Amino acid sequence: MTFILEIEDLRSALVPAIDKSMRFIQVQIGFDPDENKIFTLTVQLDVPGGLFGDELSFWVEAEDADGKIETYWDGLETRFISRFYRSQILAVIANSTEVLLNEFEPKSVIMVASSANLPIRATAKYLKIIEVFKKLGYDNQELGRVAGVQSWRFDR
Amino acid sequence: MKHEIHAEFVRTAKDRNAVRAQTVRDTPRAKQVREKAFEALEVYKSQRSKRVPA
Repeated sequence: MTFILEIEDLRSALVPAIDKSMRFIQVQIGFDPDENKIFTLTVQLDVPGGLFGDELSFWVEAEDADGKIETYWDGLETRFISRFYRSQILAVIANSTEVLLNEFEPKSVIMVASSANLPIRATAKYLKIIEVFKKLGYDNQELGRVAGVQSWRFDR
Repeated sequence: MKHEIHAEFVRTAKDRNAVRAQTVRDTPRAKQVREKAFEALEVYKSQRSKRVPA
């Protein structure tokens, strides 16, 4: 697989979409010219209901010319993307999170890690997102692990 | 937050996310992003094919 980073112009891309009551930002992040695949990143602020306020989640999708889609939730699944490119994509996740929080101003947000027992290196993306919440005045609290899965709650 | 409720919330996160991914995929915005991405891919491939090997 040959991942080529090509992030669309963020000034126009970082516009939250409100569609079917969902609030998300989706941007193109690259493609694989050899396998005819495109890659997109989605960052979403959704309201799962109940006691939890909003929930922040994000994922990468690959789609080929035949419409076959693969969804990646975890950095362990996207090792075909170089570390440098991954840092660029993480910056887009952080920027998108900031735009969504500024736009919709949720009082409480919860974020659940994609996998259990993440190695320290894999938690870096969550730490970067936590920094965004802190910057915007949210208090953050790491909730107890559930079967090794970390989660965080943010309030303001 | 009650522990049992939180535990259930964490356990069901993957299910919620799978539904979200499918729902987002079907939105006009997502279709537009994918169309533009395929256009960018074609431009890249076209430019690559014009390059003269060193």
